[in-house]
Amino acid sequence: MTFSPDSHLNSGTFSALLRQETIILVVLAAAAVPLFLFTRSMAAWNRQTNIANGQVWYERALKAREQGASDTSLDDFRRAASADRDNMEYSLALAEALDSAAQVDEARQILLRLRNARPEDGRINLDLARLSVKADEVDTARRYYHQALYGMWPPGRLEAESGTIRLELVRFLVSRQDTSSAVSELLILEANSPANAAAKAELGSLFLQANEPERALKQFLAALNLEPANAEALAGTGVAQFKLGNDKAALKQLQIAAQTGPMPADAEQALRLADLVLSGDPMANGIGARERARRLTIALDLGTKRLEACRVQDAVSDPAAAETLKNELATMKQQISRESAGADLNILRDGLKIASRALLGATETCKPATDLEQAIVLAAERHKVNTP
Amino acid sequence: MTAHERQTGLQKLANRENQIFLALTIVIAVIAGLSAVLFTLAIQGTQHFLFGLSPSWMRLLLVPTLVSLLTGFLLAKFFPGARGSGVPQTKAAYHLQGGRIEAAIPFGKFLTGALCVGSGHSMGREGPSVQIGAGLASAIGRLFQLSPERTKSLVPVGAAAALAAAFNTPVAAVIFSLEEIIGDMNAPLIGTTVVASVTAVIVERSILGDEVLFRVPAYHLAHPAELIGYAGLGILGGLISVAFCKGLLRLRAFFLGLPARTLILQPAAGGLAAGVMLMFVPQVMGVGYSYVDQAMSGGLLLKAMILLCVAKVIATIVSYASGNAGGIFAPSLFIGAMAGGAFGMAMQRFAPFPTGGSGAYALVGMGVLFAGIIRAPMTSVFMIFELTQDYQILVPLMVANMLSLLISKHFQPTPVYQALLEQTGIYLPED
Repeated sequence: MTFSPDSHLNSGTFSALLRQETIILVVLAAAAVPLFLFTRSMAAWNRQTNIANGQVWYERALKAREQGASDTSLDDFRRAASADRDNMEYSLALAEALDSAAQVDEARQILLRLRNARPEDGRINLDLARLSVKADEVDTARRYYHQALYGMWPPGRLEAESGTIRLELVRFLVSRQDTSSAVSELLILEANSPANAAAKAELGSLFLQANEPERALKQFLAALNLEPANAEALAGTGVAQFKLGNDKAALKQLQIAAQTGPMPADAEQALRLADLVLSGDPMANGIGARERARRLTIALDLGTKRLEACRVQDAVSDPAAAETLKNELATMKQQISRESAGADLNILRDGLKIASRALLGATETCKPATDLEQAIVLAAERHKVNTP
Repeated sequence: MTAHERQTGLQKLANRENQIFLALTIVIAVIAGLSAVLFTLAIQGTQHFLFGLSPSWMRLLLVPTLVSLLTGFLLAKFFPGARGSGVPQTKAAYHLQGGRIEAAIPFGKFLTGALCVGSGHSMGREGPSVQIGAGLASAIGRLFQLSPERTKSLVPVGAAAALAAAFNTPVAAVIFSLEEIIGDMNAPLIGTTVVASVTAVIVERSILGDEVLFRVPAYHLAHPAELIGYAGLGILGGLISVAFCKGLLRLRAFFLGLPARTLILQPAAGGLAAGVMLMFVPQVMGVGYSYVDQAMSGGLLLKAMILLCVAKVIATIVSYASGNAGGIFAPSLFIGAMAGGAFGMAMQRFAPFPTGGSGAYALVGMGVLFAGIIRAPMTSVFMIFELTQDYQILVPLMVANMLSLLISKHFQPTPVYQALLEQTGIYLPED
């Protein structure tokens, strides 16, 4: 209605105007309702189409992945996730495909976005944990692993996967030298460990890697109880015994293990070292004074050579201390050459202590090089000669 | 009737008109919002119908060509005012025609816009939505027989509502309406445009849900020196904007210079060219927001983004200049995202200081190209701010926008919408 100040109005025309405007407004508003409903139904149809398209792309992506066509698979996962943005499965699959294609940044963004919507979802947190592992973000990875372990999972999935996830976490922690955290996780695993030899042996190996030989031994023995010929448990028992300082038991166990088949590198090394410790320890039980003196002389000679080698390599940080140690080695060699020196426990103890100090070198960069040198250092450790 | 009674009656009428205007604003916002949503759905539906899931090269070539033959006929015979973006026409209607937009225009724009954009032309839906919303508002104003001034006032209201629903950024829609349609940031219509914009967004969200248009990356300035990088992006964006505008205007001038009898076939020529491009770079099809999203997520390689940036510039120029119905709002965001993403990746490789992700540069790039091409810097800032909801992005965005705007203004003094109008002999008032 056009209004102007010059309009001649009376109450009748005003009422008529009001009525006309109101009717038009009501008609317009009423027209908006079917338009709204129509648009809504169109949107619902469009959504259904997108969901159907997403499903098609997802299936194509899975097929392409099975056939090893990773680029096609990635593109199709992307299309599926784009068509049906609410479908977490597609986005997760896309993130995993991106991760496999080394497009970590985009994968992380997708996962973080998913996590914003579902912070407790176990699978999202697990994928984020794995990405953090790749980025070497220890604390972040641990946090995501825990959130995965204590998060929401589809029914039955967590029970099936919690052990695997925790094992993954432990392996990561061990690889990053975070042994105390690893042990905490291993104790939980131990409590829920299945009663089969393989699981016990694996747990034992992880305890070993986490510097818990006692717990490791317990697991290996349990594994051997269940399966006496379990190769991993046989070797593991030997290594655990060796780490616990039971060289004789370790040697015996490792020799048995070696007869059953090839052993892992750490078991091979433990076998060699245990043998050398037993044959080179001047303070070992059951040997005569002359043999003790001979073994100590070898240890002192090795110490002198090591010290000289370190000096030649210019790896001695305190030359004065090295010179003092060299003199101590020489003095000790003179002492040990006396007839009855091999029977004097104090001389043997001091001699082994000086030899191990020399073998350990004056610096971090100059360490025992040979198995025999390591064996003498280990023997000194076994007898706690460096402890006041 | 005494003078007092007459005065009271007029006062009542004035109050009544204000009330009706407010009620109308809401009704128009609802209708414009619905039209914008429906337009978006129509484009998606058309595209799905015409191309299916994985179109053959023949389909990619033929669909835009054949559909453009049809739209060329419709545009030449029935809806000549529905060509192009719709924003220049809306500006002209507001400034020169008292807000009068023929009732057939919104209908024609809807039909031809859905066909053109849905058939793969590299064009946007926001400009057409603006014209549809403004056209509906104008038609409703005339249906109510409102005064010319009131009818004119409804045009930016309808435009803001439609843009808010089409792009899901209510504040940026208000600013766009004031900055671009009215050309006055202090316009007294700010209240009604805000009401319209909010109403339309409510309508849009009640239908489509809260789903965001883009999944925007978290933004952070990794190093203060990164601002230099954003300034560089502003300069690059300005230069691309100039290249785009000049290319568009030259090709448009070429098409306008052709004999009138070819008018009906011009969109098909553009369709053929677009089809050839789609055969090699199908990513430039239509609005292309999924690729913008991908660029912001860092999901595109450097070479791919450079290729898409160049291809989108060419495809949009061809589609628009040949007289098809569709806008340059979305293409400018697409080009900006690709240019910004590529620039960000180059920064990551070569900058001697730490830089943020390429997604952040893609985001700022969108704003930069929008400021450079559309010449609506405030809309650009608010739009990106609404997308990110992060204050930290404002400084680099404003630095980059300012440089882009300055370069664009220097080399292309007349804004592109205005220049497009002037090519058809329509000159807007200076202020």
